[in-house]
Amino acid sequence: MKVINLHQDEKDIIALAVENNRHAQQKIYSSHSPKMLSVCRQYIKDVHQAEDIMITAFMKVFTNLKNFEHKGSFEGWIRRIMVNECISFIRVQKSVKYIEDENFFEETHNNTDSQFNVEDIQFLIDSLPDGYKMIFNLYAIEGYKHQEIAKMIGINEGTSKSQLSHARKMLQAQINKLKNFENGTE
Amino acid sequence: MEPNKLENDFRNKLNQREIQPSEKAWDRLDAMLSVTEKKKPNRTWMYVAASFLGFLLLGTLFFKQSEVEIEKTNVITYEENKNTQKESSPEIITEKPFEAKLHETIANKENQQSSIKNEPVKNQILAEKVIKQEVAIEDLKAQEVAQQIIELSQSGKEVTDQEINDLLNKAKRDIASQRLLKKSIQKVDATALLLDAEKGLDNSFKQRVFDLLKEGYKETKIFVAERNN
Repeated sequence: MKVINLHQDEKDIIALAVENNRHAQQKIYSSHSPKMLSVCRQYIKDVHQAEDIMITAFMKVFTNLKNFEHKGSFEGWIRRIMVNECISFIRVQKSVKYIEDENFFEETHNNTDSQFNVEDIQFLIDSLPDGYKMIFNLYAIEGYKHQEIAKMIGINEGTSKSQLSHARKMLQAQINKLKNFENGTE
Repeated sequence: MEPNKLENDFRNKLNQREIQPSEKAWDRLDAMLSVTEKKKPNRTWMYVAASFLGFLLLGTLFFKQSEVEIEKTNVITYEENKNTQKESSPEIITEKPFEAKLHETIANKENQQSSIKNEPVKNQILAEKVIKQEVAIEDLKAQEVAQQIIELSQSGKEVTDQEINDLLNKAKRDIASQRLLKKSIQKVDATALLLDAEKGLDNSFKQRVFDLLKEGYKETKIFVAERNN
């Protein structure tokens, strides 16, 4: 019952926010912004810049709110807008170059449980070049398929796959480095 | 290529993460929302105002036009009159040799001068006419009054000053009313007005009545004297 009530509350608040009710808009913003800033931060290293992009994305959320059809989760819908905003920002600000090489090999990953905290994970992702980072985030964190990623960024599906492979390799190297550093072997 | 255990761990930890945005972030978003919001109602308000002004303008134009039309008809009739007057005396301009033109201009000038000279004379004649008319009316009245006084005195009754004054006043009123009647028929003439101002009725008329009375008295005196003789 409580879940239904919560859902109903969300619907009401969205309906109010569509009519430019500032109180409802603020409620939506304050309940979603911490998570959304985290999403933006995955793609953009600078927190202030990430915040700017989040604000612009929230503007798009509110201006397109009437188009939300309550089919998927509201958070998922907002998150998609955030991710798209981050991608377009990176694409405009930095001309990302993707190296077309189909001859990548699939590695076998060590499926060991990572002992990393979230700051370490962010550090590892931040160390990746923008092109790798974007595709790694989209594939590994957001859960998009290569086909979707290719459409979103405007690249070939193969390019998306090779970029992910390169990103994973680089990430593994970074993890190994970090582990060795922590173990004091280096 | 499936996400491995490490990546699942990454996802879980990242999805649980929350970064609190700065307090200014909402203010900025609020300001941006207000800006976009303000644009829309402002436009509708502007439309309303513009349409209202339009109707006002149309209304005033409509009313003014009807007024102008009335004025126009007046003007047109007036102008038509003017035109007909002009048409009645059309000017015929024909080319003439230079000398003839020169003569003509001189002649015209002379004519103009003569007409200028003539005008005051005309005015004088007019004024004199008016004066003559007035004098004639006044004389007639004076004679009437004198006759009445003589009749009264001859009837053997005592003639009081009061009665004489009443007769004089009545005569005055008659003259004044006649003048007014004349004025109302005639156009207001500057000379007539001047005459009116110059001609104080009071003393001159009284004087004339008395003069006539005197004459009458003298005449009766002579007549009585001659009879006695």
